Amino acid sequence: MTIKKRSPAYLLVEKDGRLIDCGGKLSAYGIQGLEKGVPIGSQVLFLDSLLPLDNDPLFLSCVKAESGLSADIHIFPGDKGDWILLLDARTEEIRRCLLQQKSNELSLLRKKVSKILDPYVRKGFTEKLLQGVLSFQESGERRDVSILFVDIRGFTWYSEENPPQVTLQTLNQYLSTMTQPILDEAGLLDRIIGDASMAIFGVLPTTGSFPDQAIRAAVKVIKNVHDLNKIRKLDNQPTFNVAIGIASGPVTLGIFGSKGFRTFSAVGQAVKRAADLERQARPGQIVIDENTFKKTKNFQSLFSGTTLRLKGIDRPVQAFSCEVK
Amino acid sequence: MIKKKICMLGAFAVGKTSLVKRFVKGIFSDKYLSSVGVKIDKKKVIIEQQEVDLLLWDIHGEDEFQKVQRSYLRGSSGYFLVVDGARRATLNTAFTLQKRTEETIGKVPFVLIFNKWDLKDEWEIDDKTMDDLSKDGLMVVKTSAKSGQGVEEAFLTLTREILEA
Repeated sequence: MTIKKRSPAYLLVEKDGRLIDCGGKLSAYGIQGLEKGVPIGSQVLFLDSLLPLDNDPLFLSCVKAESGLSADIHIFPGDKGDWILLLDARTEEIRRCLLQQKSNELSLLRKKVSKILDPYVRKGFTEKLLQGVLSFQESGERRDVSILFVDIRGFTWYSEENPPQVTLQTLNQYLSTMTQPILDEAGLLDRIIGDASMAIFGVLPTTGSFPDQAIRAAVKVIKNVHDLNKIRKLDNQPTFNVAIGIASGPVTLGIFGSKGFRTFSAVGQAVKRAADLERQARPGQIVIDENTFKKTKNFQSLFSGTTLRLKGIDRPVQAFSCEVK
Repeated sequence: MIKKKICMLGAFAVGKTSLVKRFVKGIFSDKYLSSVGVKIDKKKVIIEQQEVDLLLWDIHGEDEFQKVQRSYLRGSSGYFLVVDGARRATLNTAFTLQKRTEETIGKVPFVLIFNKWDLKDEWEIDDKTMDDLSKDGLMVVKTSAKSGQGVEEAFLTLTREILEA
C-alpha cells in the first residue's frame, strides 16, 4: 500500500516541546484544533511521554488513542526539531488481530485441555497437546475411535470382604498393571470407575491403526495381569482376572460437564457397545465388535466369531472373542 | 496538572485490557479480544487532594509470536505486571517483561497484579507464592476485573508510588 493511501499526517515539534508545524489527515487520528507554539504534550497526550527524542528515531506500531484510527508512528530528529509521521495501520491491525486472536485462543484451549487431561495422560502426550499435535473442537467433534472397557472380575466381592486399605492397595496394584499398556499404545484413559476403566484409541497422535492398538493394549493388559497373579500367588495373596470389551465407530468427543467439574470424554453407540461386550466377556477374554474385527489388520487370526445377545438389542449381534493365555 | 504514563504489561489474555476498562469505564466483558499494538486511555485520579492524569498504555500481550516493543515503554513513570492466577506460566512472562522494562527505562515503580480472582478455584498460584513475593518487597495486589475487586486499589497504589518516587 502506498503512503498516500495510508492517510499520512505529520507534526513538527521543537526540542522544547512546542508545536512548530503540522499537516495531513490528522483528524483521522482524532487529532484536531492544534495550536502552533503550544506544547504538544498538552494537545496530543500520547506524545507527551515520547518527546523530545534523544538522537535515535523511534517507531511505534499500531497505536490507538481514545478516538481515531490505529496508527503507525515514526518519530525522527530533524534540523528544526522532531518530526512525527502518522500512517494508517488498520490493514496491519486487522491482519495481526486475526492471526493473534486465533493463535491465542488456541493456546488457551490447549492449556485448558491439557489441564483436564493431565491426570490421565502420560506426560509426553500432554506436551504434544501443547505443541498442537492434537486438536479437537472443544464444543464437540465426531470422530472414529476404538473404545476399550476393562473390568477386574470378582473384585467387588473382595472389596466387601477386606479392609479399605487392603482393597485400595490391591486395586492400585492391578490398575497400574493395566494402565501402562493402554498408555503405551496411545490410549487415552478416559475414566477409572472403581475396578473398571475405559480408554479411547484414536484421539492421541499416533502413526498406528487405532483398532490394532486397542487390541494390542488389551492383550498386554491380560498378560500383565497374569504376571502379577503369578507374583501374588507366591505371596499367598488372592488373584483376579480381567475381562475386556472393544468396539469401534464414530463417537462425539468433547469436554463435558459444568463449571467446577469438566472432563474430556466420548459418547456414542461404540461406547455403549464396548461396555456391553466387556460385560459378556469371560475372565481372561477379549471380545470385540464386528467394526473392530473388520478394521484390525494384524489380529484377525487371534479371534473366532460368535454371536451375543446384548442389552436393548433384539437380534443376536456378531462379535469376536479371543482367550489370552 | 500532573501527567503520568503507566504501561500495562503481561502475557496474552491475562486481563490487561479488562483491568483498564474496569478502571476507566467501569465495565467488563467476558469475551476475550486479543489486543494489537497499544491502546491509550486516560483517567483522572485524586491522590491526597492532588489531581493526576493517568495515561494508561494498554500494550498487547507478550506471546510466542510477538514481543513487547521497547519503544512503547519510553517515558513511563510506572507499570503493572499482570498475571493470570489460573496460568502459572504468566508469572514467568511477567518477570521476563520486568527485566526487559528495567533494561529499557531503568527502575521505576511497578505493581504485580494477580488477576482473575473470581476464578480462584482454578488458580495455579498459591497464597504462599504471593506472600513470598510480597516479603521480597514487591507490591502485590489480587484483582478481579470481572467483579472489580482490587482494581481501584491497584491503580491508586501505583500512582502513590509514582508520586513518591
